[in-house]
Amino acid sequence: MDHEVFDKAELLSRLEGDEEILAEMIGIFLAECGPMVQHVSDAATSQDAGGLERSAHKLKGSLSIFGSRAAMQSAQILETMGHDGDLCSAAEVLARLREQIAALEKALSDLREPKCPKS
Amino acid sequence: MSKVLIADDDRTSCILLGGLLTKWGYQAEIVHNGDDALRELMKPDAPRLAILDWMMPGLDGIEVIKKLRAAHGASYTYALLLTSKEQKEDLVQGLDAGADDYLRKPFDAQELRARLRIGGRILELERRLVSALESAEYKATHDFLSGIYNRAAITEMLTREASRSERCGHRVSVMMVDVDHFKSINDTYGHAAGDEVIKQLTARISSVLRTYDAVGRLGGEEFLIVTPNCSLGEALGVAERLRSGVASEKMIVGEVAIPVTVSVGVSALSVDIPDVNRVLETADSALYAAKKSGRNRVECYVPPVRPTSPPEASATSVGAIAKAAG
Repeated sequence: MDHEVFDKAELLSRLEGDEEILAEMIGIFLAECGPMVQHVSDAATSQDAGGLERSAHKLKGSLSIFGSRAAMQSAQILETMGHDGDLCSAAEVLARLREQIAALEKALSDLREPKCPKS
Repeated sequence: MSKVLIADDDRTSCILLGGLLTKWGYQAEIVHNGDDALRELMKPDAPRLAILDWMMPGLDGIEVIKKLRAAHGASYTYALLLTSKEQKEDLVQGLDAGADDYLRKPFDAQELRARLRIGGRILELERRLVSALESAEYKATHDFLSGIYNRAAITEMLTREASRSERCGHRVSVMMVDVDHFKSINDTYGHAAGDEVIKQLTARISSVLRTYDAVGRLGGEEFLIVTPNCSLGEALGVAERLRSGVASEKMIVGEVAIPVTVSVGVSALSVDIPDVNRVLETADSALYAAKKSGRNRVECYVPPVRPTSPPEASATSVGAIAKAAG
């Protein structure tokens, strides 16, 4: 697994190895992630700098829990853009962020539903 | 089980915090915005430990802490600020706003646990300090034997009532109560019995007073009763009820029934008795008169009739009651 996407071992060590909490967190994140990205996207589309700063900050917080460094970095860039009121290249960063989050969602989903071992 | 409030709009973070805290034996209460956090923390039985996310909808974590500190609640709330801000200036701002500690996201479970333990230790110290202060304040204002106000506290209360009387014009009466032949009670039955008499007398005095009257032990076997919004005539009635009540029923101390009587001197603030010192002096001289006239009596100080104005009706009737009471 790409540790830039999700570092399970690191997260589990921070959770004192509690797989139950991890499973619950993944469930909540997968449910909340879509709407969170949508808020970021809406703010970027409508050139709402304050909204972009807040929504990207919140998304960054969630991503930080899973240690998704690349996605966190993109969210941080969007947050800074919102803070500075310079949204020129927001669409480009947002597209990158969507890909990174899609990779994270896939990694987390795989973790929840492990593939059957080959016989 | 210690309650901890978690305020974070990120539900994943809430699951993480709530799960860990529950595992560590805390009772986690979760809210998702600053307004709800403040409302919960202002409740009387609110959690004393709070983990607040910095950026939240409505009030942010900093504003919650500022409002909490400004409210000066009865109990201290240990506030741990959770933040993904990384600038030193931000953290300084957070701590200056009144946060006790902070933790950067993503946090480590062991570190959070240790920081919560610090919070618990601080809160325990605060609880012990408040308890010691309350105990010291109680000891400074209460008589150790009877549990009622001591001399300083009851005099202070009279001073407050006197200034209120000056502002609002209502009357304030005082009664000075002294146990007759207390020395011989001590000599005959012992000092422990004397102490018991003081305690039982305190209960009897309290039983004839209204909730807003106050009684204190001046020392030895002498008590002072302050009755706000009470005329001299009404105070004489109370004093007489007290005197007759004490005299009519012996005090049972262990196996013995001790006959106890009291003498009472009554006075009231008025144009002629305008201040605390004077009202205490006159109540004391009325008490002296009661002792001199044979004890087990109520006497009051009646201000002399001023030649320039007609005698007041209340002063005349008070004089009549004083005579009847004797």
